[in-house]
Amino acid sequence: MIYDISYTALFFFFVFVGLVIGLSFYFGRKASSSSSYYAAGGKIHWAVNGIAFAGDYLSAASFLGICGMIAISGFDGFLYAIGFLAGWIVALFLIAEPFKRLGKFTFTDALNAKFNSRAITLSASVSTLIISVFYLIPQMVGAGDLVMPLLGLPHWAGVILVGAIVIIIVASAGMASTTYVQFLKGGLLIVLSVVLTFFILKNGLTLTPDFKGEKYHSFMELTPQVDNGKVTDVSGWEIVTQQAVGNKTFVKLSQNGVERWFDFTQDDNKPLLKETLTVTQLANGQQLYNGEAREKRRFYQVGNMSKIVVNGQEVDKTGPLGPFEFLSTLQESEIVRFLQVKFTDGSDQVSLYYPQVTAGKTFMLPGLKYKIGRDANLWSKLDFISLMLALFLGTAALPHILIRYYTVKTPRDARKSTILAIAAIGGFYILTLFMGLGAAVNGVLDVESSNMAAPLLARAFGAALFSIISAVAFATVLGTVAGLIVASSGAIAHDFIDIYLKRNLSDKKKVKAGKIAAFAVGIFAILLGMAFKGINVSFLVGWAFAIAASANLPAILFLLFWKRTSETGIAASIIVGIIASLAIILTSPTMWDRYGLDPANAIHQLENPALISFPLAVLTVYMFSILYPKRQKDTSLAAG
Amino acid sequence: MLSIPVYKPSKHFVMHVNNTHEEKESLTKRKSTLGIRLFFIYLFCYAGFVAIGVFQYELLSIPVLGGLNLALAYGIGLILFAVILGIVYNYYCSRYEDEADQDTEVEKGGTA
Repeated sequence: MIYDISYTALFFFFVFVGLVIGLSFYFGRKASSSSSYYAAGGKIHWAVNGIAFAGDYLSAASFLGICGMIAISGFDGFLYAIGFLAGWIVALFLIAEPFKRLGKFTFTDALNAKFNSRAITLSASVSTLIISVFYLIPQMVGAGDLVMPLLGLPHWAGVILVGAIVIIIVASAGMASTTYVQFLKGGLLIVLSVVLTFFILKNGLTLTPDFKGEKYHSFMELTPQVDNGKVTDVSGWEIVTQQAVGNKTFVKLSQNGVERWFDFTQDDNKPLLKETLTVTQLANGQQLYNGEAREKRRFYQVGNMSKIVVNGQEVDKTGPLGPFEFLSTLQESEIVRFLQVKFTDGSDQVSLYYPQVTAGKTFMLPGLKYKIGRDANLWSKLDFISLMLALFLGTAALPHILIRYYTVKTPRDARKSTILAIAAIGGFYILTLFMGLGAAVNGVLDVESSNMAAPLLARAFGAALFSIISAVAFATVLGTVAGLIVASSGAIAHDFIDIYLKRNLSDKKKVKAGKIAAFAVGIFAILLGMAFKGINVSFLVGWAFAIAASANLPAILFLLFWKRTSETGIAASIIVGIIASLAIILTSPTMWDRYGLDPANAIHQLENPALISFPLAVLTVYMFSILYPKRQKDTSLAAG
Repeated sequence: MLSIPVYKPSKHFVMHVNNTHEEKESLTKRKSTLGIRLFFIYLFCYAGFVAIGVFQYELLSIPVLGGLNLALAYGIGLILFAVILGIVYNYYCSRYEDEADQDTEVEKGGTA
């Protein structure tokens, strides 16, 4: 996508990001001067804590990723919303209270509460590190996407920018994700989503989504002469080449020295050439957008409706709609989606996006990304089950998510906070449905990345709204990335070097080790952020959930609910969970595509590993606990 | 001073927790039984959604509520149901805690 810099947007953006970072430092400093930074939690009202909980959880991935996936794949994006929220049920009903009774509040500590085993320390710190890294990838990808339309920078520059800012912050002062900052971010995200949804409904649906005098690009349709399934002549254009990709045929035409690709269709025996969007990578490294240089700006935002049906009548626009009407009207109408294909044309690499009319009925059902209805096969059904399993079990097993539960004074307040958080997050997720669908039909989508659907939709409604939403999302990314880098450098410096290797480092050396670790993790995150450009961030978060669910959850559930669980069982289960889930992810079709291979030839067709890796880890903890029972000496916590 | 905040969870998170609040075993048991029951109720509903998707996909397109298809109604329903179950859980846990407190007071009153 090609973006202009908007100076108004830029101004608001810097003001808000500055404000949030400033507040973080302010509260962070204030907190560290008190006896304990988290001790302040005991004085915080449960309602503030609840919204802060939501702020913790609603990382940019939720906001950018879910809206984006709904905009591209319809209902399948909403699956993530359903699963992310359902995970809270596991956390609240099964994990939170027993954890509290163990008296330990992180996975490493809780898993080790009864055993004090080095094997558990090692495996748990490895799992913390790997889950953190997998959670970092989508944050970095999202950050790169966010910066593009704001600063007009390429994706890689955005990733480096975020990485650098965070490394500087973490290495110099440490950015405390304090309750008040998270409260502010969580609250703002929800309020802004309500505003955006209000605009979407007020606007209603229209066939011509024009904003700010900027007309929606109307895609050309040419009628060619056809002989024997081949295009033989197009008036005004010269035929350069024709290429079959799968069951589609694309035709390259040339006019005034510009070469462009068209999608050749013969529906109802009526041959048509439909204009597409292409990004062509030339052998000399130059990129062409629709056959021309970037500066010519011949690349468009997309996403529109081809038919709107209200009460059986076709209309051009609906005017303001209620929430139910909005959904049901979409269901009856038709939406134009842009699908991607990649192929080589001589020495050129072509990424082509062609329009495809999709019935609203199909769009509002699962199946466009995770095929479970028509065209389903065993793999795709397993993939769907696997995703739903990972989302359900992942939340409670993320190393950082339950911590805030313990920062409230009484169990009663902790529960109330959590329930408020569930309500706030649930409400937000219902709004993502409207924001995602709104982006799908308002001509704001960037075909190169789905992640910007919600912010770009906001841009259509005004520069101020756009910049505030981008700033909040960006600040959220910064906070999350900083927190993850601190956590993973801690896993290396504290858990691994200090406890596992038993190197009694002096405080000074420990700080140094932590800094080096933070720097290394930061650089690693930057590289991964670049490598995963263009992938939907919710999809990537799904992987982090799957690893967490496989590596941590079986161990913790057995520890809490089965008396015979042994330290060997726990350590083995974590290791098996990590290895199995990583192996499946690294050989998945999406990774195959990243390696530059054909995804169809991947070893297996499972995108999400949980369905295999979770039961495997459960089996491991059970088998190893029986084969290697725990030692008699039980340093039980009940005494403590 | 420049320093990296080395992540020490035990140091950060244990201090503020109200460990003095000792809970009676019977209360703990009542609460966890409730939690496990509600968990299975939700699991059943959640698994139901997945099962319909996998085995009876056509059902998802049936319009059910205000013109919405089953997929949307079920999905939004799952989100709302999670919130409702959370409220139910809180209500009963609070009641159990109140009852346990009353019992303690009665016991205290009895021995005094």
